[in-house]
Amino acid sequence: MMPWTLGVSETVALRSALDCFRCGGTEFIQAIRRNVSLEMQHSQVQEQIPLYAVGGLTEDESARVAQHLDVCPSCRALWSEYQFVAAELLEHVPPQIVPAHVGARLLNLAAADARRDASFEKRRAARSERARFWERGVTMPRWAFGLLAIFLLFLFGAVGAFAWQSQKSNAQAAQVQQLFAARNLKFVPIRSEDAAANDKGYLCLTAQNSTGLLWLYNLAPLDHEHVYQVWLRDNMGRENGGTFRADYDGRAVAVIQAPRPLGEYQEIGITIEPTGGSLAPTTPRVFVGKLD
Amino acid sequence: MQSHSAEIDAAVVSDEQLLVQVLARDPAALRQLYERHGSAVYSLAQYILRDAAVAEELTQEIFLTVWNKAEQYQADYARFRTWLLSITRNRAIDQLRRRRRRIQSALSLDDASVAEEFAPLVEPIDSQRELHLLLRHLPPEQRLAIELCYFQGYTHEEIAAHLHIPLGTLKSRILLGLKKLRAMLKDGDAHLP
Repeated sequence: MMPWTLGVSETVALRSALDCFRCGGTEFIQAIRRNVSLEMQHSQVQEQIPLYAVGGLTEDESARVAQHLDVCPSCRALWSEYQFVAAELLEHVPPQIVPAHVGARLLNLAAADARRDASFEKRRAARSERARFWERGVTMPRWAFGLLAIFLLFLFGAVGAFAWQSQKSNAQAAQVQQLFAARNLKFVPIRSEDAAANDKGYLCLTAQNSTGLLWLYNLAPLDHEHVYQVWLRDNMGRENGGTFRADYDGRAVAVIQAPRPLGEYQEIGITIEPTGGSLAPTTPRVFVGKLD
Repeated sequence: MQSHSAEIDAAVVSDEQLLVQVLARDPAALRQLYERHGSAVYSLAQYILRDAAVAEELTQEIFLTVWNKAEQYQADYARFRTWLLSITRNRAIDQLRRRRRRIQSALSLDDASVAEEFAPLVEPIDSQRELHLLLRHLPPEQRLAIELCYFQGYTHEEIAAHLHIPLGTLKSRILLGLKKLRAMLKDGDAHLP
């Protein structure tokens, strides 16, 4: 049997056990047993260390050796020597000349990779700059958000109104086109209620169509607070036919959109009403035309 | 990149310092590491795999690992070169084992085409290789035992079965060989090339 060679940890354990022996006895015996067990393990592990260094042990054996190495400095020193042997074995293989293209390909890959990384970094920096901009935006005062909201509301309203107006004009143009294409197109003269005055214009219509084209001239100019309003009358009463203005030369061309076909009405009348139109005539009729 | 290259002085900068630059994605630092250790990695890969094309691929793969995962290296455990050669050996042996499994399954399926394809790549267990510069100093039976265990990735059981020797005898041969090598290296490489 090999003589005992105690390491630092074993010496400390033995000293503490001797202290215990002075006090009692059983702990001393247990300490001796622990050290004997440690020593047996130590000699076994020492034999396995070379194989452990070259990866020649099973998983269980490797785990036991690793556990022992944690607590045994002398085994760790031996292991270190065999690690050196293992490393030297890898160093002393017959040398080969590595083909030049291996390095060239590798370095090309790395350079391309580095360029990609640099470009990625640049994009990331730009992204964080944009993020910072929006963070600053979020800290804008509330009144600025209010103004922005009002502006957006106005913008959407204007766009919507324009679209609606444009759609309406297109529909009217189509209806006028349809009107002039009809074979039974009639021109109804529109006269002033003042008998001495000349004819004022015409209403182009068909009996079946609810759209008519009103063409007037020599109209008196109106201020901004008044418009001409068209009324369509039948036996039952009177219906609104829309409002219009004359230009600076006293001419007006207006599309009349009636609720029913114009043939169903007997008379067209025009009054002067406040801007926006009225529900019923508020002033005497200034022009009239007979539809039947 | 050029400015980095100018900064790197091969004689002064350590591997660990170069690794720090690799972590900062400097290809010039990788070039320095490759120039220092590329040949050793390729020689080891070629020695284990016995196939130049596969050894080239493995060499590239190892250095790309350095390039992409340099943080895996822990300087407390080993020198950089030792770590590099260890991962080269591990990956080469993994490849050898995969090849063996494929050829074994091909043989069991009686697939001659696959067997033929891989046959030249699988090192026969007791073939003579170009002698290892350290192992050549050992008796043939110890040299073969260490060679098969350390450079061809066979288990002790596989080697013992193939050589028709008891497991204990095989382990003794490996142990004796390693102890001799340790003694030789301790003597200050007196007998080494």
